[in-house]
Parts: sequence; C-alpha cells; structure tokens
Amino acid sequence: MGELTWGTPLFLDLWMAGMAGGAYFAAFLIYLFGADKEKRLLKLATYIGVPLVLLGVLAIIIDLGEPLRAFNMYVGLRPWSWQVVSGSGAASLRAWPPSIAFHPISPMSLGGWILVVWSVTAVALIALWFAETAESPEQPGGFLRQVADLLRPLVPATKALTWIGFVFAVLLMAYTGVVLSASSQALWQATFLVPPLFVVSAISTGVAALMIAVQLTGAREGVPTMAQLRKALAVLIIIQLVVLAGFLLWTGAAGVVGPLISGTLGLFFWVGVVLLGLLIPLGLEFSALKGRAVLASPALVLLGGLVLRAVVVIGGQT
Amino acid sequence: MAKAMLIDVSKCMACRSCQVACKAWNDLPAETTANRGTYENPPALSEKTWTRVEFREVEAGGKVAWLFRKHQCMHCTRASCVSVCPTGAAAHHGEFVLIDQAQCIGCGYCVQACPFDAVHLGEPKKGTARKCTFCLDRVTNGYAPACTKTCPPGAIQFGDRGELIATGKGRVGELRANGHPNARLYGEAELGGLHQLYVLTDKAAALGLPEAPRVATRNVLGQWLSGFVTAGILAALPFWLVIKRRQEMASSRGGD
Repeated sequence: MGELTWGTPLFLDLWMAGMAGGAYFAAFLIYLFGADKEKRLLKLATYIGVPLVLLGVLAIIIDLGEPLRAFNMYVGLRPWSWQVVSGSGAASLRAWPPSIAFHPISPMSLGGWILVVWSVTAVALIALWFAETAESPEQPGGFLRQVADLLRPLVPATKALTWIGFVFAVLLMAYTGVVLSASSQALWQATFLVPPLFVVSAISTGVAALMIAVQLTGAREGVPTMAQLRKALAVLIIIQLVVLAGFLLWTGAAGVVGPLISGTLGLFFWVGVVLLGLLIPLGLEFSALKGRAVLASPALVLLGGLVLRAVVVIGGQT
Repeated sequence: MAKAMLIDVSKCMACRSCQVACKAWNDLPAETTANRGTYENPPALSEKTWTRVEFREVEAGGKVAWLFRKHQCMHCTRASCVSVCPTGAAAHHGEFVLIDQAQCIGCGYCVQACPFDAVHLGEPKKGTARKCTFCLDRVTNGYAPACTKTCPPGAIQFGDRGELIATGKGRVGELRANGHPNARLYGEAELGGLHQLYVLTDKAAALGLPEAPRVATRNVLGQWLSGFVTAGILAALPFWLVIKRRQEMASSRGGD
C-alpha cells in the first residue's frame, strides 16, 4: 500500500473515540428516557469512554514522532520561524504572551478541543459520582474520603455535566467523520455521508461496548436489560446498512469508490465490514443462537467498526 | 504588488535544472531512486523534493506528444493547507503560503487537504510538513526564486502577477493559433488566484492538474451538520423507540 500519511494510529483513534462517544450517547439517552434510573449504564459508559479516548489520543500523539509538539494544537508559544533558515526581516515574532490555538475551520483543531472538553467533563463526572456515593457515613475515612468531602458541594453540577458530556459526545462522533471529509482525497470528500456513516458506526460500536461491559462486569441487575440493548443494536445495524448503501452509491456515482470495494482492501470491506460486522450480527439477532452467544454479535460489531475505519482511512489514500 | 511565477509548459524541455537549483538553494538532500523506465525522477514530490518536472506521454492524432510540467506548491489564495492546519503553522505571508516548522506538529492534515499534492511529511515517521517556500528568503531580499534563475529556455518567469497574467494570455493566444486549440492560462482565478501560473498546451487534466480545484473545507459546515442530523435521527429511532416507548408500555402495564 506504499506510504500512508495516515495509518493505524489514526484509524484506531477514530474507532476508539467514536466508540467512547457512541457509548456515552446511548447510555445518556437510555438514562434520559427513564430506563436507567440508577445511572449504572451511564457510569459504565463514562468509565470505558475515558480510557478509550485517552488511548486513542495517545496513539496519535506517539505517532507524531515528537509527542510534545501536540501542545501546539492548544497554545501558540514558540517564535515564528521558517522552514528555511533566513536572515531576512520577514519573520514576525509572536513568542509571548502565549496565545490559544483555536482554528474552528480546521476539523482537527476543533477535534482536539472536543477530545479535551469531553475527557475533562467525563473525569469530572467520575469524581462527582465518587463524591456522591462516598457519602454514607459508615464508609471508612482516609484520603479518598477527604477528597469526596471536598467535592461534595459540587455534586449538584452533575446534571449539567451529563448534558455537556452528551453534547460533546455528539461532536466527538461527528468529528471522526468530518476530519476525513474536509480533505482533497476523492473517497472522503465526494459525499456528505462519511460523517453519518461514522456516527452510526460510533453508536453501534458504543452500544456493543456497553453490552460487553455489562456482561463482563456482571452489572446486569438494575440496568436496562440486555434484550433492550440488543434490540437497539439490531436497529442500528439496519440503519448502518442503509447508510453504507447510500455511501457506496454516492461515491460510486462520483467514480471514486474503486479502492474501497476492490482488491485486498475490498476483501476486508466485504468480509470484515459487511459480512462479519453487519450481516452476521444481524442474523444472530434473529437466530436461535442469540440466547447462548450473548457476546458474539457485539464483538463482531466492534470488529466491523474497526475494519470500517481502517478501510475508509486507507482507501481514501490509495 | 503581488509576485508570482509563470510556467510556460510549451517551452519546458524537461532538463530539470529547476529541480537541481531548488535542492541546491534549499539544501535538500538527494533521493535514492530506481530506474522506472522514464526520465522522470524522482518518482514524486516529497519532503526533500519541493519541485519536480512531470513527464507525460499522450497520443494525439496518431502522434505521441511528450508533455512536461513543473510541479510544486501553487501558493493558493484560498489555500486548503491553511484552512485545515490545526496549529496555524500553515499560513499566508503576503501572497505566499509557508509552513512554520516550529508550529507544525506533523499531523499530515495539509498533506490530505492539498488539491495539488504539493505538501509532504518528513521521514522517518514523522517529521514536519514541507513544501516549496517560493524562496521567500530570496524574494524578500530582492532576488528571484532559485528555480527561475536556471531555466535555460526561459520557461519559468518571475515577476509581478498582473504582468505575468497579461504575458500568459498573449502566449496562450499564440499557442491556440499554432496547433494547440486547448491551450489555456491556469491559475488566474483558480482558488482565488494561484501564485504559480501556467501556460498549458492542453486541458488541465492532460497535464495532471485538477480542472476545477476546490478548497478542502468548502463543505465543512454541511459535513458537521450531516453528522449532527444523523445523531438526532438515531436518538429518535432506536433509542426513543426501543427504550422510551417500551418503558412507557411497561409502566402503563405496571399501573393497571
């Protein structure tokens, strides 16, 4: 495949950040619609979302080669310099004071800020939930207890924070698609359906991640039943098939879909995304197996989401 | 007065002295390449090759024509790299587009966004983004860019943009009258005006240029909206339908 400017770290990040946003999006709505009164699913989504987002960002930052340069996404601190050494007077200096780097026209600049705001919100929520639950006086004291006492006056902010988390989860999911479509690569910019495709995939992988987390943590009591999540996942898979068909038709009409659906990449697309990631999980929902193979379809949906990011990212550069 | 270059592909003889001059002035190392059955070398622009003559063989009227075009950053007025750059490293300085090497983080977004494939990341994984600087260090000191100084047939001219457009239009007229009916001037209006203008002997596509180059972020608002609308629809469809309605049904049954 030769030289890829954007490779594995980038599509891993798009997959993980999307999954985090999708899981939070789904859990928040389930909470809002009254099926998760204890917020167990919302908390679970936040707990898995933070490491997912941070790992994804870490992958990209390490891939930069010089990780500390990532700070330039947020502050403009260093003096202006050329790519050529020059003694002329054209270089203007803006070393101090440091300025905030915010370029809303650039999806990557916005994305960088979205990742920060969502992560900070999620961490704050985790801290406040901790303060809330550490309230019972029979809990032993100690450092964590003191932290909880310190945070307790802020607990009423939890509701507002869950809403901020929701808004930024939507932005996070959309960012993973927009960052590709604002380019000159034929496959990514020929259609308006890259962001929708990635948003649907983010939510389906998010629901799948929640199902696996619920199953593995044994937190099945008190959260909306697996059956409800599974129904939501089935609907999401059907919607994703529709959006994917639209994406193929649109990019096909523009004559740029070739690299995605043919050759080695095409094999990954048809087998990994369409068959394993969508059709088989959907079939499992309507089969007699669904009672026994509880984790099979969410695991396949996660895999399909990863392969989708990979083939779209690589296909756009071939 | 805005400066520009005018590249007359009808005069280019593909000697590649512009490539050598660019490497020499900008202190860019040579690349190790292999014979690919063409005189075109190196195979592509890169972080250490900022300009390159492209060779194209086309058949016209039973005869083979050999088309040459010098390729480099176009210094667009509406520059995609400037739009997408998350740090502001890619920016206009006067009419020229430069990438501030202290601000660049090497994310590669400008590489994906450039409609002319003129920006490249350094090796090994990954340096900063590099490209033609229009020899700004020379130009601001009153010299012409290095590539323009070495061109034996005078295919590359440097000067005032308005004058070069007039020169280019005159030349296009000559070419049209002399067996090149598709000849055109490229860059006068493209992307708000390029600062590398071309006199082309054929259609833009025949010389590897996009007929109608577009800014990478032209649809960015619509792309964001399409993502938001999808999220809205999905909030309604599986979640409201599967969770909320089911919940209501369950509670109404419970209330009976």
